Amino acid sequence: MADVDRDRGQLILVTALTLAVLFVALALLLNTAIYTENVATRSSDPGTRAAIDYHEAVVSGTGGLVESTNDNHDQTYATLHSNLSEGLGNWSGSVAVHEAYRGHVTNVSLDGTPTNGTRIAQTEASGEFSNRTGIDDWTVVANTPRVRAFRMNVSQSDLTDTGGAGGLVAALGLGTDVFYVEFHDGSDTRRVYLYREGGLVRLRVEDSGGTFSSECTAAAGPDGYVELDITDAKMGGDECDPLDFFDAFSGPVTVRYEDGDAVAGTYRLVVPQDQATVNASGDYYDADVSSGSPFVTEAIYAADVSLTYESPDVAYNATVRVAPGDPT
Amino acid sequence: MDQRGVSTTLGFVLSLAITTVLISGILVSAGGFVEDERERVLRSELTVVGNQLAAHIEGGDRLVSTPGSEHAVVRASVPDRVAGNQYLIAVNESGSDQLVLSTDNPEVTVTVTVVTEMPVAASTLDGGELRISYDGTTLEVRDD
Repeated sequence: MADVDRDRGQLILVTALTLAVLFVALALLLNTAIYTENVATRSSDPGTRAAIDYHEAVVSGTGGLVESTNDNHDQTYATLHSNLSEGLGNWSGSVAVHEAYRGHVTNVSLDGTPTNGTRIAQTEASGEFSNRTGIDDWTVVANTPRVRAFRMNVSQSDLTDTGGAGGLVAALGLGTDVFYVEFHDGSDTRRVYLYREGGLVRLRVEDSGGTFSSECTAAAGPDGYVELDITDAKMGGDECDPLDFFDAFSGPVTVRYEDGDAVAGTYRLVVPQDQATVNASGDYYDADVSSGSPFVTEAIYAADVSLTYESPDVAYNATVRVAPGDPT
Repeated sequence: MDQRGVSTTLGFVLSLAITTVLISGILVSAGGFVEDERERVLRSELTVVGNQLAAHIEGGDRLVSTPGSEHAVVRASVPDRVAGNQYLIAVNESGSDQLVLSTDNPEVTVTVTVVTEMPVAASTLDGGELRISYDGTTLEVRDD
């Protein structure tokens, strides 16, 4: 009898030991499950957002640098290039110090030679949009591959008032002079009409087929002027969708002003042609030689910059074309 | 005197048999329960690993989609083993834009969809340190 009792006891003992091992295995599984849940709550950001932010900063910072380099008159192309390169080096160094605090290594440098261009501008706020010799219907620039940063600041009181005629189309039908900027590439045409009616400055775009777009309007500021950014499709700081037409052009574009005496204010644009080509007809003052409006001066149209970014988790290289205000 | 007509051997055998059956039943169900839990934990951890790797791949894709990108490397770190098991990661094997994570014993397979603009090259990897690299045209996931 005693032997039988010991046998039964052994069976239960073995079972208990086996169950104990199973419970330990279960505890290990529970540990894994807790670890998994913990890992799942961690941020899954791979660190690429900081690299993308740096890319954006390079594009906007370098764009500003190109514009400020261009804003100095009477510079040769060589001086402009070296100013841009030096400015870029300084900018890259400053940003590198800030990024180093966050454990990132960054660098930006000029890649190759910048694309030379010409800045065409009228800075006389009360001046009409006529050429150097006073002609009101003239070609601003002929057969330019691209146009960027085409901005105007127009005086409301100097624009044609179409209220009396009953709107733009009616006024044009009556033969009234209304200022417009014409873009054409030989097959497509866009005319941007600027006029005033009902106390607002107004804009409409006419396409090759003679169809007029919807109107964009803006109220003049305290100085009586309205800002227009044709390449960025903005009027008075607001979006103006009818101005978003540059992808209609496939070839070089010619820009003309018609009825330039029906508007007054300032304008500027940058084209990738050299100064001699732009001023071949003598429509402008050469800013290197004399002062007067409108004038042309050397400018950088676009620049390629190489950027590198390194952090413990991300390494990134890119070459970016910087052409601030280029619509394409 | 209640023992008359009772065989001690039969009583012994019956007790032993019943005890053995009951104990086996406990062990089998406990073993089955642990096995189920193991499979569930494996599936859960593979899903987490898969989603984290997918997030890294998609982050790398956003980075190289910026204009002018030439070259990029994003490093990702995933566990070597899940619940003590080795596992395989198949990236975009059938061109279906999916990560398939699988273990052999027990057989568990988890699929995670990856949405990218750039094409992702097909590859098979173990866990551990991984690198997602971009050479100008495609994204590729490799062991580091």
